[in-house]
Amino acid sequence: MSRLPATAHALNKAFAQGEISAREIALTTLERIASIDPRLNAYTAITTERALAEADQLDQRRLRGEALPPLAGVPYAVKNLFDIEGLTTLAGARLLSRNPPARRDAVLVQRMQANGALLTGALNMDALAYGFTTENTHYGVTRNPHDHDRVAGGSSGGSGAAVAAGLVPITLGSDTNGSIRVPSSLCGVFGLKPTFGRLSRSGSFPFVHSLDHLGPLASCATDLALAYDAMQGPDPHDRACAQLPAIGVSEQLSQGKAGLRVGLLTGYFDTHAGPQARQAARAAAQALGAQDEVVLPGTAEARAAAFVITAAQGGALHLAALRERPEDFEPLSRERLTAGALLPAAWVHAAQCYREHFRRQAMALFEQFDLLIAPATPVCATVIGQPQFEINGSSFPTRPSMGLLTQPISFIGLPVAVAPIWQGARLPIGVQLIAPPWREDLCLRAAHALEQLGIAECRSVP
Amino acid sequence: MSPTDPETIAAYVNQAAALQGLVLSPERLAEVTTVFTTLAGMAATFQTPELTAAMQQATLEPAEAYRP
Repeated sequence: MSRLPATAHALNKAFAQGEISAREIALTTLERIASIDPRLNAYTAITTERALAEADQLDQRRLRGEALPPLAGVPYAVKNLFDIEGLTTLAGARLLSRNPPARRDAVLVQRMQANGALLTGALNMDALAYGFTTENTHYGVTRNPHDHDRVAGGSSGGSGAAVAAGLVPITLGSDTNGSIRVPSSLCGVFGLKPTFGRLSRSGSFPFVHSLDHLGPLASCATDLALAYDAMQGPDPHDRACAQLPAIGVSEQLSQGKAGLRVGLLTGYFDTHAGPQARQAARAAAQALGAQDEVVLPGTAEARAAAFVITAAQGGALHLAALRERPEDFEPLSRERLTAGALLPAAWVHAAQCYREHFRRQAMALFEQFDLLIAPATPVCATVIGQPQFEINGSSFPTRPSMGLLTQPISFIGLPVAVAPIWQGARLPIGVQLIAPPWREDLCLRAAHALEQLGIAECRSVP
Repeated sequence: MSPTDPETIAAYVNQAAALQGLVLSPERLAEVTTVFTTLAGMAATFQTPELTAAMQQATLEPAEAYRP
């Protein structure tokens, strides 16, 4: 087999049917990473020995006729804030580079391994997950596979770029304010930010405890669902992780858009989106049979409150290091953390109270709709180093503003899938498919339906 | 304090940094003050009298994060 199948489910099928060995998959994948990644800088570490060892174990299992798990033979990689046994967890930060290696894998890495996936390495990100462009002063910029002069988005930029470049069909990322959804949009891949508390965060480096989510990025909605199903389940070690049993979604994808009541979010989501973003959201809404346009009241304030909580909790987390080793911080975000650490407690308390207020506004909409649609980013990928972008005549600073449309949604923990839309453009842009809490099945059904209808597509770079 | 008054903000940032044991050069202090001013403006948007009244009944944070 000269070229591997592009999707995880096709790879798994080829392996299970004996068309290819896991070792061949691992070797071909590692060769492609070695050949292509130097131009992208998506990987910060490649786990060659581990990938080959995991592959050999799988080949042995298949030889013995054992039942094979759903991700058997599927290569993947993780944002470098996930613990990988034997590697120092960088979280994109030179500040952490002298820490000892992790003694065990993060829980989600353990679950991917238990489901037969092959770990190929750790991926680049914005330092400490504070940014939306993966322009990392110490570990380099990750380039967009569709245009190497442009950013991949962030903070999970390596995760988006690795899938878009066809290096691996699945990656894992984190999303505090949009860090899965932004690179999914700019790199043109599928992404899932599950409900807050759905997936365990044990063994990942935190940013903002009350906003941090983990989730997958993938080359299609089917793979996204496979990865999500593999990682579900309670974890007593993550206090925020809901003690809910796994609810498989892969079997539900074929239900498509049938019966879905869909609304298109306008108002804030229109005024903070450029023409391509608005057109993408409307195309998705039309394809899914959206009945109405609807306004979510208080969205601008929600974004502001998320911004304040992020700065305050992030700043507090790193306050000791800000005192003792400020020179080791990413210069692009150090002063944002410093300012956050100085915020009056009453403002942060008010921001948390506003969260509940805004959640009630959103839940009222879900009495009418099963799914809400909005653009994922205001614009498509910006040029590396571009300080600002324009929307509707207003100028916004690029690094903190690419999450304008994602922050209000993660602020209240709603599940969101991102589907990439091209519509004849040179670069993709994503749409957010937003569901009520714990209804990841609805997000993924909609993403799958858009793919089946030819509206959404992940175009891996050849 | 008025959350958008530049002089008040500059004085507050200077004193709060000292209180937190943060040693900031004049350049860093100026940059931190600029960021703080942006954050103050954002904080003002969800602390209007109307919203404050509406939030009286709101709980602090998602209960799942603080389950005993």
